[in-house]
Amino acid sequence: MTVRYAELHAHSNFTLLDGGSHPEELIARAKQLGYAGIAITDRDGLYGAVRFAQAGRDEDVPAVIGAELTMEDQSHLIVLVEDKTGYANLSRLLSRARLDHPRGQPVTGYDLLETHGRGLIALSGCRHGAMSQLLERGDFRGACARAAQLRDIFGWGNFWIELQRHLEPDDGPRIRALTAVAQKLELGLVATGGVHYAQPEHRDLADVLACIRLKTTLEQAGTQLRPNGEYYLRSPEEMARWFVEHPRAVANSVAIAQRCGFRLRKLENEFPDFPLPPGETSFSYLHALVHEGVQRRYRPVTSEVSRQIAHELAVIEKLDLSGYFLIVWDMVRFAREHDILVQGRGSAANSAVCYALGITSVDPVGLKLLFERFLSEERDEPPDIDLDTPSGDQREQLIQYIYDRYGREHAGMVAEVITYRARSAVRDIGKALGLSLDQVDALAKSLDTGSAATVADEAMQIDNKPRHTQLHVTKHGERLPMTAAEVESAMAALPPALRIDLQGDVARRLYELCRRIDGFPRHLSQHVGGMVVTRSPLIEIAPLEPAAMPDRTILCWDKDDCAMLGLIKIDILGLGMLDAIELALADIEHSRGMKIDFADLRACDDSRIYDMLCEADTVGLFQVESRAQMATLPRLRPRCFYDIVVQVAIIRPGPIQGDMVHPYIRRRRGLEPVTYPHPTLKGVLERTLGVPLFQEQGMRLAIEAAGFTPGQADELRRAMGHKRSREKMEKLHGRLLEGMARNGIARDLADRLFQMLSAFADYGFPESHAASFALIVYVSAYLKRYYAPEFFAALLNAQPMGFYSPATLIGDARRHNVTVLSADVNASRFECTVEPLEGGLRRHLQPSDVVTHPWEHPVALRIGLSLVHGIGAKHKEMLNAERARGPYADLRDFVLRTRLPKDVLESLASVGAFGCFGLARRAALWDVQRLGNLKDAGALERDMTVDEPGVALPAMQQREEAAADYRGLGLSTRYQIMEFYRPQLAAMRVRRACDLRSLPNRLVLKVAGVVTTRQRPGTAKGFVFTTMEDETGLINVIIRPDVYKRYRPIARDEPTVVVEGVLQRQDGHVNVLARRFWKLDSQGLAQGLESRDFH
Amino acid sequence: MMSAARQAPEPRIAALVISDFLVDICLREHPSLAGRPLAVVDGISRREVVAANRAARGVQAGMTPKQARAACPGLVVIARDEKAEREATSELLDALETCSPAVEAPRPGACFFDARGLPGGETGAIGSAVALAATLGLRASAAVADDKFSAYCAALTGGGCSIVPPGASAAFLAPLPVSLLPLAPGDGERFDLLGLRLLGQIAALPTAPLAARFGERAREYACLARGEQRDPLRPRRAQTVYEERFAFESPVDRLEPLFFALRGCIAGIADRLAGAAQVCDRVNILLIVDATNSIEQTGMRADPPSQRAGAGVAPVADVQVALAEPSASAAVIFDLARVALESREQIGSVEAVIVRAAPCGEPPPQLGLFDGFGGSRNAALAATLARLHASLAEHEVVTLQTQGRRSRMPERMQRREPVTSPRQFIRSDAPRCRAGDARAARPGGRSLPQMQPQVWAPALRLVDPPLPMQPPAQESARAGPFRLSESWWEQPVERDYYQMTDRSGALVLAFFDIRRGGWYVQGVFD
Repeated sequence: MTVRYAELHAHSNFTLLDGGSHPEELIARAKQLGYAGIAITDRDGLYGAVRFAQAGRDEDVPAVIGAELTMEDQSHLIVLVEDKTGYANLSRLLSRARLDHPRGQPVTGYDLLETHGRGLIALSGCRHGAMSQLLERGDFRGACARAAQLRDIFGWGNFWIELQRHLEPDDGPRIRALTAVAQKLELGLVATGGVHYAQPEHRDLADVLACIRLKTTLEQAGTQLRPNGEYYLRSPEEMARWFVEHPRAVANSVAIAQRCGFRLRKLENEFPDFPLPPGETSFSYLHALVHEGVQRRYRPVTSEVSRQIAHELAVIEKLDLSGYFLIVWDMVRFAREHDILVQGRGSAANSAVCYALGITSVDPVGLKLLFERFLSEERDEPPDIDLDTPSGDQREQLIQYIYDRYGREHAGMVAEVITYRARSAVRDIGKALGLSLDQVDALAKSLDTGSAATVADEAMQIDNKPRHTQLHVTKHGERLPMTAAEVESAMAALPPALRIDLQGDVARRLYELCRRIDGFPRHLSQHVGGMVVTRSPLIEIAPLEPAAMPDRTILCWDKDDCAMLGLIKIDILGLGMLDAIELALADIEHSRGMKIDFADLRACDDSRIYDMLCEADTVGLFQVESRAQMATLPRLRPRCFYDIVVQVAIIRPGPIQGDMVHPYIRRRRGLEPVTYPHPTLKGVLERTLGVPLFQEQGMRLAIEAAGFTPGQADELRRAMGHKRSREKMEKLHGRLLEGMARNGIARDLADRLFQMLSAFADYGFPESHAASFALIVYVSAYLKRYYAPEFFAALLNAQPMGFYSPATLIGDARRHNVTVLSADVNASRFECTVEPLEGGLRRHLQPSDVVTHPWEHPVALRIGLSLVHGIGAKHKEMLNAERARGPYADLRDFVLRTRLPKDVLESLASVGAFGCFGLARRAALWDVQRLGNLKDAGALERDMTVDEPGVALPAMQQREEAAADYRGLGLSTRYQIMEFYRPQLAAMRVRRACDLRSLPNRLVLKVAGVVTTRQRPGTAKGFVFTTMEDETGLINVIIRPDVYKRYRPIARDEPTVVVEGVLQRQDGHVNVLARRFWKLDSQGLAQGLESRDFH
Repeated sequence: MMSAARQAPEPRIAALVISDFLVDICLREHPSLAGRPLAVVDGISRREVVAANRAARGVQAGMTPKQARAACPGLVVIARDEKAEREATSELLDALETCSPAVEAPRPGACFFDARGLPGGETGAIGSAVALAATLGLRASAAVADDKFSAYCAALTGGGCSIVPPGASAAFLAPLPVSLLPLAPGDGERFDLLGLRLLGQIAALPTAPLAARFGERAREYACLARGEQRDPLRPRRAQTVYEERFAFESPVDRLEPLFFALRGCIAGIADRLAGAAQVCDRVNILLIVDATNSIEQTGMRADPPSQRAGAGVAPVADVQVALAEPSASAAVIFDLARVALESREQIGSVEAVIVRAAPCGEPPPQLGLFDGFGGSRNAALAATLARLHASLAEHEVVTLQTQGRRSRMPERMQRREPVTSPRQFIRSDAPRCRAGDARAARPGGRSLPQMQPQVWAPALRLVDPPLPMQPPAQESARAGPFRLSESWWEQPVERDYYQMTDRSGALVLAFFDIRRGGWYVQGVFD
């Protein structure tokens, strides 16, 4: 007779750092073993429930939702959801357990079970269950009392005594004792596996996860690990054998699983009601708002606009989404009223309704954008509106508004599941395997790959030959120098990082575990801006927990899970560039008394802005500052707003993988004729010269070529974007080919079109999104062109953001003739500011200065004190208050008023911030050594002055000043490292960046510089793109995979390098194709510099 | 000037520096390791690398052995041998004392000696010192200067042999890096920021402002940097060995007369120790045995002829008595000596007895052994240990440390630790067994102690290492299996444990080794 069994106690890897298998792996194994059902019972959470439920549906395995609760006596209790009421109760229980207790220590009280126990079936739990614990202490009576209490809470037939066997010495006694309790109280028995991983082979990873959780190593963990590997899913036959004395216990598992009929699936009508004026319905109110907006935004209102608005409103009414649009409109209204920059991005910009409501800023009718990319009747999911706002306080203001408006019961932030990636996996697993922090850190930092699964592949490519042969260590780790010269060389020769034998056993085990931990959840975080609002109390829909930030609650699910359940989500995303723009506008108004209105810029027709873009003068600009964008700009030569839209969209994995970039550029430059795959597609592809670049074009292509409805076309787009919907994709592929055949398109062309579509279905931009971004590109370019000092000051204040470090931004500012003034305790504020450029401050160009853009600026940029090493946000209030009291009289006055610690005073002194007191840097440093202790001195000592002999300290050399600047500020306002090496570099015939444009193509040459960025895009087949900077500008270096492999330690890790390569000039863009690398020993000069690598 | 110098000769100090001292010591002990990557580790609870040779690439101080091996394949890891270091240092000092009467060894790998008036001059002296060190297997460099710091720097930076002429220390030190000073943390970086990178720059600064900024330690920096350190040599003290003798008129073969003589000798030594405010931790009793008694008979060691009391005369039996604590108490020493001699089965015919004791350390508070005034548990423990040490070899007196949290494998759950002092027990709370350990001490980890009354729980006598056994009969009564699988990351262990009666009827804990496929007895239940 076939044995039937359902596993009712299984932890997935969402029992964080304990479970060793994905929810999908549990389901797959359950199907393999022929289970009658399986329950997910992660500890104090439903984090993996949505994925588990989805996998259960996909594999047709009954997927029971449940959880293991940590009770107030620290015992464990399993609860399984029987029906919808039970689910709401479980969600409440889990929420209260987290919201009412310290973060990370959820506890459920027995009294709460009494009020929220309906619809739940409880099992007595593992060896940590209350009964087992009491029995272990010999308290049989207590165990019976607790069991009776739980029986009374959940009701007869809803509380079961759970039996587990893991081949441990106490299995037998415990099972006997639990059976006795069940007999005494006439409770049913159920056998469970207490599963922590799907298969026996997953045990090693579970042990490693335990070590990570316990912050120990495998060697030291000892008895803290489970004694054996018997915590996997067993076959029904094996379970029957193990519980041969309790056959009913095995059979009961199936009965309980069958009772648990609740399945987690799409929620219906969970949209909250928008508060309306009297007499209005949500649609009538929306209708009125839209028509008012149309009159304001469209002048004149054409028939095309009216038609589009009517169509959209009809769809919105049919889908009953008016409330949703009103909610978003309300948020935007609030933002505008509070002077918060806000702009809708993504597919929302395809909607004329959104444009009319002021949610988006680009006209979809004028740009002929496809509404169905945003919303369609066929689409079985809510629309997605993302709002960009400045990051920081204003974004928080908006978030708190939503909480206030809809109540904390109905609004919450979406979680973000932080999963293991290459570096985190290497660090955590390496430590568990017993490697040192230095070793795992060195290996982690040497990895370019993001995926933990490919750590082994990359590690095999790393040249791990030690380059340092001298080692002198003592017990305390100091060096034992031999000669004065060797003292210096020994310092330079010490290994920069500790390595491990990358071929050794430990390393191989590390790689294997990394491969398997890839994608495992590590911890939960708060999504950057995703919010969910619901009609039912959120607490009944999903467990809530407090966020690390005060006044915030988060859901236990990430955005994909929310989408899968059909929850309405609004993303409020902080955009660094909006921050910068806002700061720049404020500075401009303050320094020049000018208020800039974006409405004046909407024409986007200033030819000087386009000139700037054409010459790729885009450092600091939004979206178009990357290496690839800079390489494309001189070739695309944008001259109108739509060109920027194309520019934003073309450097994306979709168009690159679909091989659409080069054809577009050639056509744009008139080097090849504009053709269309099929005459019917001319209308679709005309604006992009016959080359599909946008997601909407893919959809239109399906509509025109295969007769798809807009909704079907969107379904096709989404199916292409999701790897897991293979069956759906196959079905749509067939339908697409059929439709094309009907329209007379030959099979080979149809296949080609399908390939074209699939290349960028998910990785291309929607045209509307590109248009929204293009507007910000234009504004940022405008600010750089006309208000460069304010623009660069704002960029520095909005850090971290963008591609370039503050040092590179300052270099670019100087090349744009911006006078950059160093930090000064009396002249600087906390942030970077602009100040009038009086005669004395005006920068006098030196022969070594290379100003590529001699624009005139009436103001100078003053570096703020916040950039000084050691000064942070906690000092802001104090520094501003003291400065408001008046200037500091001298260093003593500064020390006594600010009471900054000595190391901060040293930083200020070393960057020359006490220059206003007439102190040279070293003189200030010398004084700081004595005065730095004053803040701790008594009143008498503070008032005492000391006469002491003068000390002649060596003045700082320029190189030393530069080094101090980089170390103390991360940038230098006066120097660029490479100028100190120029004489030697010139002798070696190393070329300067500014000379490259005038040199002949294919010239073999050498260049040198500070590495500012390194990129290895996934689409570049192993090519690495490095940007270097010398005192005259940026140099683009391309490194072939074989060259990168050979010179990896230098090309990847050295801050200053010399490169030999071949000059490549194409359409005004210059690259150096690297052949060889040398380390340029900056002798500590580049110590404070950081490159931005592998974005 | 010259005559003035002759009238008041300035000190001249020679420094001998052995950069790779710990590695050299290891190579002395294990010459076959020469050329192989080698790391020396130290520490009790956490062993970490304290030195490595040049072949050990990638290894750095502070790594654990596992980390070091991961960094350098083929690395040989050797435990630091402080005894060997002491011996080597002692040998080196002995050797150097043939060069100079006043030799100081402030730390391992560095020695100073007075270089004035040595035959062969300063060059000859340090040349000889380096050569002497080389004969001991230690690669050293040496230098002479007016003060210790200058000499040390010269030896460190000069390589081989260097001479800093008299009065030239400041000039010699001036171009050397500041990092040679014994800098407090952070001072190096601060000097660097101020542009003070050479000792000469520090020397040139006025001392008071320097001290106002860097504290009193800066005065020492300035003093060292100017070559003005006048720290005198602290030569190692010539060790006095106290000795008392007693010769019998005729050989005695009974213990009573021997004890009588011994008591007098020990009393004499104790008086001398006490008079010098010293203590000893070890006493050697040399018994000059009648030549007619064979060595085999006595079971005692015969010293080499050169060390005998009279060359070619009689064999010498050396009985060593180790004290529990350093002491100068005649009663304590005598009682232990008596136990030591009584535990020997035969001592032969003794012609004479010599008692020697070398002073050691500072006198600690001494526990009263066997004299009734100790009274405390610690005193009783010390007395017991001393008795055990007197009658057993040192390594045979051990304590079992439970390591219940380290592993569930019975043989890994306890560790034998030699007991050398009762202080081990005072410092450590290891013998206390916690509830968690007790549970973990059962194979398979946890137990349910209250379900099985304590009286049922038999004591397990461990068989270490486990012994192979015949497979049990199919029908034999047994409880289990309890599966234990651990250490999958290094030496995987997979065992199915059973409690069963073996063929002799004894209740045993046995296991089937799943990997190797055999049956083993792990322990016997008493």
